[in-house]
Amino acid sequence: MTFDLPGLFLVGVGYLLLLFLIAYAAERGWIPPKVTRHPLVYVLSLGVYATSWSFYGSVGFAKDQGYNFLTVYLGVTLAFLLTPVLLVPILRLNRRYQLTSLADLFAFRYRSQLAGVMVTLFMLAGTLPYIALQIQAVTESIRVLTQQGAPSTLALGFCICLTLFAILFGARHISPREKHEGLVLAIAFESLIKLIALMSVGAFALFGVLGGPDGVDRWLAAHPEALDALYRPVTEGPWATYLLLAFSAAFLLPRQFHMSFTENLVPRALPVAAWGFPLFLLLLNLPIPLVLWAGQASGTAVAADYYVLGITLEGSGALLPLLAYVGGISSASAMMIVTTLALSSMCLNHLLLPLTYPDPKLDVYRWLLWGRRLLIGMIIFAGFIFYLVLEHNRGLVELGLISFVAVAQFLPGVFGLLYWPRATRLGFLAGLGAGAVIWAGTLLVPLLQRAGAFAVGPEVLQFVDPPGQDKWQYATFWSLAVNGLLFVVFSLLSRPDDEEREAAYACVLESMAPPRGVVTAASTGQFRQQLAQVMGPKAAEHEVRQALDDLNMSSDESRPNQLRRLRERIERNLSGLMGPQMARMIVDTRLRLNPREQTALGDSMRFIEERLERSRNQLRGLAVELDALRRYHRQVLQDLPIGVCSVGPANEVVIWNLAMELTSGITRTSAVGTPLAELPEPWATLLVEFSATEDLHVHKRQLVIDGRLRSFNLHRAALAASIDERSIGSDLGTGGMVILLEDLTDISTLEAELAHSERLASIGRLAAGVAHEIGNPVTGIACLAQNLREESDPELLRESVNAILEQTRRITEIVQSLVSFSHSGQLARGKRLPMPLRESVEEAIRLVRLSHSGRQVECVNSCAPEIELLGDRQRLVQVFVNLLTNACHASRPGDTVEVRAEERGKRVIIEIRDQGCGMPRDVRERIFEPFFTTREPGEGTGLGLALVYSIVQDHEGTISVDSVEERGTRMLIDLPGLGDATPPEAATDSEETGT
Amino acid sequence: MRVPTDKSRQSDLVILLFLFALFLMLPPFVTWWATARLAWYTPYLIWGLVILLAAWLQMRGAKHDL
Repeated sequence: MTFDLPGLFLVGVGYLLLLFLIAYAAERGWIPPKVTRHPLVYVLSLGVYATSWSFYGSVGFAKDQGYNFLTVYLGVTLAFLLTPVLLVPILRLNRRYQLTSLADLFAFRYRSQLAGVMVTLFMLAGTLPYIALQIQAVTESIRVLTQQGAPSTLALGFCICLTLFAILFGARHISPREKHEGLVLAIAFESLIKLIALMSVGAFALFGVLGGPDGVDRWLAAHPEALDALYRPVTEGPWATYLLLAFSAAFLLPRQFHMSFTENLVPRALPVAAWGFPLFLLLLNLPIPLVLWAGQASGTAVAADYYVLGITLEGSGALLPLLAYVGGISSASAMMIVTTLALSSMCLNHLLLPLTYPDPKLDVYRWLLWGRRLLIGMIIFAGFIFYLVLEHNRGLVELGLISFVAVAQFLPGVFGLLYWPRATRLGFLAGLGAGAVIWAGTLLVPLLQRAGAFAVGPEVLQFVDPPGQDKWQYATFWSLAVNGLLFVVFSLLSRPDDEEREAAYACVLESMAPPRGVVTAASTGQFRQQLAQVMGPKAAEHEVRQALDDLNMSSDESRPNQLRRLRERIERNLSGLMGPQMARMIVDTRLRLNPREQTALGDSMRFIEERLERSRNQLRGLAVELDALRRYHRQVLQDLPIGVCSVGPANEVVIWNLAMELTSGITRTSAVGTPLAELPEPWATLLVEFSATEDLHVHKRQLVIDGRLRSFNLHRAALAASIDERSIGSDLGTGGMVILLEDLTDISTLEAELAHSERLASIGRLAAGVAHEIGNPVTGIACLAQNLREESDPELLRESVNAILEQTRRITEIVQSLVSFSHSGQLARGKRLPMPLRESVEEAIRLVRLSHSGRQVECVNSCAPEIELLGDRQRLVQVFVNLLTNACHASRPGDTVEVRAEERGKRVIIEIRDQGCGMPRDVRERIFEPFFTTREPGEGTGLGLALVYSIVQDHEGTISVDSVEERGTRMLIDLPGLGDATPPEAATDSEETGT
Repeated sequence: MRVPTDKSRQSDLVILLFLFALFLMLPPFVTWWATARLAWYTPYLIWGLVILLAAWLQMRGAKHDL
């Protein structure tokens, strides 16, 4: 059966149109994201590994080298087994630093533009034969089906179609950092087609040619040499070399790197690929021996490389040959599209941009987009030229293996990147350079010489391709050995600079060194201006906006630490756009850092903590324990029920715990790194003032917040500087202070309520006395009023009226005292006013006299009228009432209780002395404790003296007691006078309660 | 002695599986199955066994920190 050329061309074009449709549907969102982002799609997209070599060439490979052909897939299986320790770290690096190709990765790690250029050029040289292989496979498959040679124009048409597809669906977005869901889905679809086609051909070989499983057994029994031909080369051929080459190709080939990392839509799909992708490869290769035997059994004249097509022509239908043909096209097209995209990104970042950076007046994005598109066309065209140059009868496997050996040269560099921070730029360049030269000499030169591209002397040829040696083993061994040796030796002989060391730590383990220096641009506006000078205003605006959005940051941001983060983000985003070296160059020149300005401590801490959180699973041994300890301490600080705020040497917030967040309403994120003075009011004033004073404690500082009066205790302690020289660039341990904020609002409210209750209880106790005191004048008034009815003498009438008025004044005074005393009072204790002491004591005595005990004791007010206090009159009256009541209780009827006062400097000392029973020492030590009472149950609350203590303390005063049993008690109160607004120096509990 | 975390144990198992796969895919084991005149699909069975173990390991293991 033969096919005609136009028909096959139409089938090919129709298939590519179907690909366009699938990609377009995914890009437009017609296919739901749960399909495009499914791990199965990712696994199938990795099937781009299987090219025409796998689809057609595996059979020929199996014929020549038996089961050695499986090594190309077993090596991939080995690489994917190491997903968690090999592939996941690369993916993590790629995503974090927006690296889009292997050249970006090496340029980032070794901080060298030259590294990027070398990798790109070498990758180009190593991959062009592979692209040529694909074109050759497609044209050869057409030749097999049509029995006539395919014209070069057909190959050219195929290349143009692929160029269009790659441009439309692979270079659709401005930046390669954007993922292309359409491309991923289309490549996955191609893999599915390959699998279906090859399985169908395998089924045809099994049942259509060999007669089913039993037929295979019979055929093998009849041809034992067939099975022997598969097994024997395993022990004779370069099995281990192929395994190694496939291992490196699994993730270092441009197309594999691109699909595995750059176009990875869902990172969690990669672990699934650890077994899913090898399974795909196993299924793809299962039919290969059957197809080989079917080809041999049918005696087809087609070369073994194209048995997949050849045996289908033995059947009667046209569908299977066409399916196999489409499978071949899908293998070739997927490889060419993805490889070209990957190479174009490398060429743009590492060849084109360093050579011709666009004028800022142009639209940079547009320039980059068209630059990529142009490069895509050029690379495919270069592959086409290579195809024309090469002799067409070269085996498919040979061209593929040349590329495999080329990418294997990156293995030492990857090893250094992931596991050896000591590796240096010089080591990498020396090793790669030597490996590339040996690769070119041992593989590329003989290939081109045989193709007639140029002539090489037999002596040279004998040296580079010695007869009797397996050339793959020879080339791989020498190139990798010299490469690895030079990599290690030159790395050890050279010293990495700071930038390289930083990148090395970022790759091997999270770098714990916090960023140093402060960006000279002081606002996001200045960021835009600076970037506009190299990128133009539109691109600068877009990049700054993008970075702000990524960080969820406001465009008004001006905090140095946040601007530093913004700079880092912009660098990463630019890295995705132009490569890491160009991005670093732009931010280094336009967004300069001032290294002399110290990085905020809070920022450093946050940086280190973020890194520790991210790299927890990489910690081992002692580091794990230390990290657990750090987390424990952190949690203790965070969960403390008291507000903790630590401040760095530059007065910026370093720690802001949960209680602080709840009390202030300021989140930790916004507080940390912010200078105290820039916190929202009233916290800025409160904390700045407190940190500036010499006082280590401030009690019951009151603030009105949201219309509510709140009360706080503040404490602070200086943090001693303890710099550890071993810490990498850290500012930790350079001093500062810690501030504790205790919210007393609830306690103060409770105290006020208790005081009010205590007053009401006192009034209850005074009720009988009140009745008595009011009853007497009322009786007097009644008598006088009765006399008035019969009195006619005006003089006597006036006297009686005056007497009545005097009695009513007495009643009014009593009522006023009661009303004043029972008033609930204010929490605003800050408003202290001058008050005459004698009057307050007098008022208290009047109240005390209302009680039974108060009437039996003589209260003497010996305070001088000129003495004045600064305080809350109502609360101080309560102090005197409570003390006098206690004194009266302790006194015998007829005793005297005296209140004296004297001014000592700016303070006033008040003494209340009784001649009562006194107190034993154990009682004296406990009298200020709440709920402590010596009275019978039901007679006292035990809150009186506790309240006295609290009120005196609120007035920055002290109270002490001096008592001798059976001789009496003396209470001494030290309160601020009019001239003293500051508290006494040592108002401690021990002083206050001492006797 | 500290009990290994799920993640470190997972990494250890991955390395063990890799070494086991290397054992299966390198001489002398390869030489043995290549010369023992086994069924033609033997290499696929060995390959399938490795894939099966990898799938089991991935499914039981903790999710990778990305």
